Amino acid sequence: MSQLPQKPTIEDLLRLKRAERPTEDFWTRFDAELRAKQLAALVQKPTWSDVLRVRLARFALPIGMAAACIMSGVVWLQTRPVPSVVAVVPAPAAQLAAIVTDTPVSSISVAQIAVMLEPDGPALASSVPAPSVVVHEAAQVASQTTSEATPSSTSDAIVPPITFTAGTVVELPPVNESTFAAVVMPIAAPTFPADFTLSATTPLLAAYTALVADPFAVPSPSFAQPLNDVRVGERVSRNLDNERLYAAGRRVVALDEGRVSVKFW
Amino acid sequence: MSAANALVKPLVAASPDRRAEADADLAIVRRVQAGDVAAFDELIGRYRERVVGLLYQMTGNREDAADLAQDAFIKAFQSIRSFSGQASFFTWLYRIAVNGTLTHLRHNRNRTFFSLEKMQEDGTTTEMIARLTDAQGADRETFLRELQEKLNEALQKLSIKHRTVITLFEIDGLSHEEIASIVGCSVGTVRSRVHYAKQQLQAELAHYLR
Repeated sequence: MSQLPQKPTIEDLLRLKRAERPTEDFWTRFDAELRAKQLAALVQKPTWSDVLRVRLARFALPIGMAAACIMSGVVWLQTRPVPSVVAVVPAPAAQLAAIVTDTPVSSISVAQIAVMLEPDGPALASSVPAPSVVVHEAAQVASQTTSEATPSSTSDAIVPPITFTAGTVVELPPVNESTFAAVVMPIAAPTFPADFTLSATTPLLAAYTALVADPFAVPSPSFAQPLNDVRVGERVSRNLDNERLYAAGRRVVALDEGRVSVKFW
Repeated sequence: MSAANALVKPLVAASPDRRAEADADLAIVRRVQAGDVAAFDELIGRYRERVVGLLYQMTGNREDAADLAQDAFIKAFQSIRSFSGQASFFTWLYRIAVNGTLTHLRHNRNRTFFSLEKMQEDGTTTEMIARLTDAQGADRETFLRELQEKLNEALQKLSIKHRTVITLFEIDGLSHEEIASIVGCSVGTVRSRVHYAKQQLQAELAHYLR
């Protein structure tokens, strides 16, 4: 009977697989489905986007790599230290003024902050408490200009400008909780001419500076982000030792659309 | 010679039959390329059983095999204008089918659905089953079912590459050269994969080889 060797081999077992065949029903269904797919393929012409996708497929890898590089660059730019920082306190325009110091930034003077009250501003005087300036770890130097801004009365009191040395951290209280905010903004150009002078009666609510990590870096509007006063304070203290900043040149405190800003450039 | 018989008969790459088959295929392909769309049905009729059989062994279930075979025929139909005739139509079609199935298997590695087909026995198959049944001392039908399950399991334990090669070589009866052309690797690699796959299967099916 048997011409096959008594001991089956793996080839014999695999040959049994050849005998596994589907039924006629399977083939009927198979042919019907194939016919339907074939008709659909005949009717459906490839769109221009399909053709484009097929043609671009060969460039997918280089395009992807280029996109990854660009994204990495953008992320790096976004996450690097803010190149130029201005702290802004929004407030009604009528309550704001600006001060420009023409004094060059010296080795001991980082910024000057003036806090004044409008002499004939009853609304401001009544609704806004006189801001106080809190100085931390200050090597505070008495201002030489106090005599120029001596208050004549309680209503038009002028808080004299104070000169701070490097390492000084300044903290300003909010005018009120709803309007106080600090915003980081890039410096594109000075908003006031360098010879802009401040009248003694111009109201100034408050302004303070946050110093930059790298004043020579290219600024970008995308760096603008809300900061709370704690973060601004951290930024100030972190960058106060940056000598490049002090060598950077002039600074301007400006009034611009209801905001007081102090800028270095 | 029917397609079913072609499944059983081991194929030889350069045999006159195969050459005549390839010539006939090419003539049909030229007709399709000239716009005779209905001529493609002849090609489907010639190869559907072999393609579905191959893909069934690769996937382990008939439904996936049918879907993948249909897709392969559609792809072949859509790109038949690019068929130059350098390789045989059969090799070209197999390459489309195998590549599509490999992609499918890679995307569905965790799928473990298998189907068992009824064996359509011929003389050789019947004799072998009888011999195996005697050796195991088991009921024929029960034994056959168990054997099919074990064979499927053992094949599915192979890697996709090894399963493809052993299926093309041992079950479909292609030569090493044809397999190398279809799979896109060297003949030496095909031999190596066949050898390794057999070793693995022998280990898995040792119970039936005593």
